Amino acid sequence: MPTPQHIQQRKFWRGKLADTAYGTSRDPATDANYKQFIAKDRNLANLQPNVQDNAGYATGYPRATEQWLSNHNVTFSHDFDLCAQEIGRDLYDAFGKVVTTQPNAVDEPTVYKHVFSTMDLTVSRQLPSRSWVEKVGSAINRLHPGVCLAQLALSGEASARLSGSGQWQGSGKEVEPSGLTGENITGLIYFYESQCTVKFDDGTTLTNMATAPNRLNSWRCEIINQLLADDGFRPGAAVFQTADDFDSGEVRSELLLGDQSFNIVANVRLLSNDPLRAYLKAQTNLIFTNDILGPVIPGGDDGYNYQLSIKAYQAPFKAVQLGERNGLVSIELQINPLFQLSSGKDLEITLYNDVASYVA
Amino acid sequence: MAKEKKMPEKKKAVEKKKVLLRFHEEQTSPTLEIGHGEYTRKFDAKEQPFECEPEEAELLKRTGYFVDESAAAKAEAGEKSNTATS
Repeated sequence: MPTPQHIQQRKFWRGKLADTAYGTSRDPATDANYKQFIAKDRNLANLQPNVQDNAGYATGYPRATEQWLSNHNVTFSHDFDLCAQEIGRDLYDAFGKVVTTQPNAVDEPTVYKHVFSTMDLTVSRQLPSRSWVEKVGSAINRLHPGVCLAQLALSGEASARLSGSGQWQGSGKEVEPSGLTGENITGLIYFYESQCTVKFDDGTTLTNMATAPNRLNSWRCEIINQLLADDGFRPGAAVFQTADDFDSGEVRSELLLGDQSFNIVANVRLLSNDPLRAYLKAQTNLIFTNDILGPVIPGGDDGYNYQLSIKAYQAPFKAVQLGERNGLVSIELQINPLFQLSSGKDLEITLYNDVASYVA
Repeated sequence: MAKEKKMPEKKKAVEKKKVLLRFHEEQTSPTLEIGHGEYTRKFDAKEQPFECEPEEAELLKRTGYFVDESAAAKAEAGEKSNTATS
């Protein structure tokens, strides 16, 4: 009997690893190839078939008499709690580059260090793409390959878990049914706002937002990828929603990165003799860091914790706005991370956890 | 008199020279794995030096985790000769 489907029945998975090539999914028949994604929001993917019609053609009629599929697009957005293991997949998809090492393989064999940084655009403009599976009860069971991350925001406020939110865009291809059974994800270590330490370093003075007194209200860090979505339907690529059905509408054969940009915002209490406003006036080049320290990583000498560290190497303020929060004067610092010539770096995120690899 | 036709020169196949890389001396991890877009490779310290395509080598060198073996060897040779002269 047909039954209405409740939004609470929704479940998502995504490739444990990136697609083998753009739009080529890891085999969904193997559950281990996919990791469950726990979204907080109630959003579902939006598949948009784009059509053209013959309005204005010499048909002799005032309105269109025919329409046809030209291409397909898939977009979706989700909010999620930030955990030490799964955030690595988002960071790899957002930045496009990761280097994984073991800081102490002898005494800490379970500890891995992942450094995420911006892509070297002289080598490649294709971000890692991943396949996503969406299920809603028995009504929806679909796989979207070739999904790239258009925007990732990490943020923290109050006593909550740290949050992530993302906007994704796929190739337009939709495979039904997905072919995935899907395992539940367990054993995740989450980060909390109280674990954050935000600092500004002007080269001589280190202003720590977590000491004397603790003054951080909230923070947000965004990685914005300009995806060349319209350019992804390549002439001659011959990839269609249904293979070899030229009338089923094109899907993307690539989704290149046009540009990457960043935004960092920190909202803190204004103190007496506060140096922060002067930094804006002087356009001081600051080093921004946010070290988020979680629990100890088990399996070794307890020398390493789950940790997420955000670092902007040359980060002057682009705006400083005064306001108030519960009566206390606050100052919202909008930071503009620049590319530092001496280090060849702009924004870098380092993650310590027990995940051996995000790429193989 | 008919001009002698010059035979087109045979095009020589241009072979790209492979580049040999090593871990930077500060790199103590037994393995290093890199993902860059669709490119992925895992390096094992025991298998040094690593043979790389020139473009690949450029990407890897720019990460700061690798040094060009020929450059490293030259630097080492330079150091030795400096020591000898002093």
